[in-house]
Amino acid sequence: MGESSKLVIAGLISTALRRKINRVIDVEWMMNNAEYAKEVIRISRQIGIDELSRYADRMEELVMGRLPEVQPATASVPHETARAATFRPVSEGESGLDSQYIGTLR
Amino acid sequence: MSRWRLSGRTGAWLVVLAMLLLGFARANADESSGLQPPQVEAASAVEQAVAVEQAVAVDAQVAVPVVEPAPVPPPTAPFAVGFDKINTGDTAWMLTSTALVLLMTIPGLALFYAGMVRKKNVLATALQSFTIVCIVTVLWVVIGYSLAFTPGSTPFIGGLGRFMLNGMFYDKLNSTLTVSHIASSIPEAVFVMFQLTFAIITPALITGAFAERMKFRAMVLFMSLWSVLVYAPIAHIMWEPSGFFATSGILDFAGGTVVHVNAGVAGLVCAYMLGRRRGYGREPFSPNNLIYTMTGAALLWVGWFGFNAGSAVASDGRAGMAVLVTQIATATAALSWMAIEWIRKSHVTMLGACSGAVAGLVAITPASGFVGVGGAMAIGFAAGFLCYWGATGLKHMLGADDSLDVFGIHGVGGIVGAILTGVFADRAISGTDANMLMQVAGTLTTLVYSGVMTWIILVVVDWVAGLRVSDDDEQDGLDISQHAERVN
Repeated sequence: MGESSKLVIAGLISTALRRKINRVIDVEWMMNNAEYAKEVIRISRQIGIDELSRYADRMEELVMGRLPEVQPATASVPHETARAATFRPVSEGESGLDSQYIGTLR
Repeated sequence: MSRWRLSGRTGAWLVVLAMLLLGFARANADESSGLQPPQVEAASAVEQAVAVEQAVAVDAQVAVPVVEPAPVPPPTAPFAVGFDKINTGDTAWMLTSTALVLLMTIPGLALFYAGMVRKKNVLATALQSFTIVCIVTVLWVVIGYSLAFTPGSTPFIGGLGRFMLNGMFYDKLNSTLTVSHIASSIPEAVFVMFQLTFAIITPALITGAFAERMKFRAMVLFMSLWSVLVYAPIAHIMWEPSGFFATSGILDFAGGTVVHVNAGVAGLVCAYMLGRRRGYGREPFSPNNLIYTMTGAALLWVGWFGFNAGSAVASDGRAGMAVLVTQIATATAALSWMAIEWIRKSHVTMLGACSGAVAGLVAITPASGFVGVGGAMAIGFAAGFLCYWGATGLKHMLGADDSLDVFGIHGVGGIVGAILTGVFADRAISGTDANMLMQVAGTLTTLVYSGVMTWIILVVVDWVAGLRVSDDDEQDGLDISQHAERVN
């Protein structure tokens, strides 16, 4: 826990933001400045990608010292399995499929 | 000697008596059936031959043959026979084949194509195949069959003797029915229906080339004209015994030129005439559901047994060989396509496997009644390799947006099959020698005639109805813009 965890999460957020929206952040400044970290967390959530939102939640927990608001679990959502929580479908862009079908089918 | 003279007189009397009886029966049959003169002549020739054979058989019982039967020319037009001349085994197989070939178009081809287009065009693409089934069925019985499969005054087009299937009959009271001179062991109605399924799938194949951008009404008009003006003449010159290439000895067992080269080049001309889809070459046109495509390809594969083995028009050993070589060529082509993908892209795709299989089916089509196992493997391998190039390298060279690679697979596969039939035809199976010059000439003729006529028809349709949907309609998708439906 502590600084090493913050560094790992900040690094993951930095990489994801650069890949998804081509935005560069300062990882060191994020670890030392709470306001800057909050703003990065806000942007990460705003993009709407599950992976980034999870990192943002974790970062918020580490920086603010509190857990994000959690929806109470109910018996009506038994499908929330470990796989569902961790599975992230590969988008066509990441897999290169979008370029595969440009100007050709086969 | 006296016995010889006696039996000779007996034989002669028997012949005269038989001819009188048959003449009387024929006159009655003519009154009830309304047969056209050429058909009466054909029927008469067959009946006379039967009478002569019977007379000779009677003579043989008294030991000395008298009359040497004159060689009877084969019938050259549909003719009437008794029920007893129908082979029930052949008829059963041809009925089965007919159902199999119809399954190739609906749902086979409809699914094969629908899976490859974008989701907003799924229904429109499948509906095109469905509509063509209906249009061509009506046109075929009105005029298509007559133009394709009856003799005409020239070797390039048939006559109008079977306009509205006039003269084709089934008469239970007199136990007679008509048969085609091309398939005299099955009822003509079955032959009409079997050939109809070929006439259906050929224009349906073309729809893949202009997928996602043609107006529905333009498609209806184009397919109606194309079926009569392009398919029927090509089928006549290749398959009707008096047709130009049929008399010249071309080998096209199940339609390498008539179906696949024909549809392939027509598709290419359509792709040029309609122009590229919006965003072609800039945006990805991802297939919406390749499981549809695989299901369609599997139906095509199974249905093709009716297509190729049914073209034997008999339930016999040749049909059995046709099934075997069809399976071998298809599997070999699919494997060779997959191998190329594996080498070039480091992975094998579902679309590639399906495409390779169809390429093999196309290429073995003209050869299926003429080649053995080795020939089938060679044709399958060549088809997988060359059709892959046709759908990739050649497609880029040609520059046309042939949406679903109709020319790359059917055109190239048809050409490969037609030429290699000349290379691998086995005299022991085909009963005749292949003429490579004729194979090439037949293929080139189909390419030129089909290409030019397709272009002319498209110009006319464009003038009458307009070929292409508006940019907005194309953007919205043909499902909504043309048919007010969509899949969710």
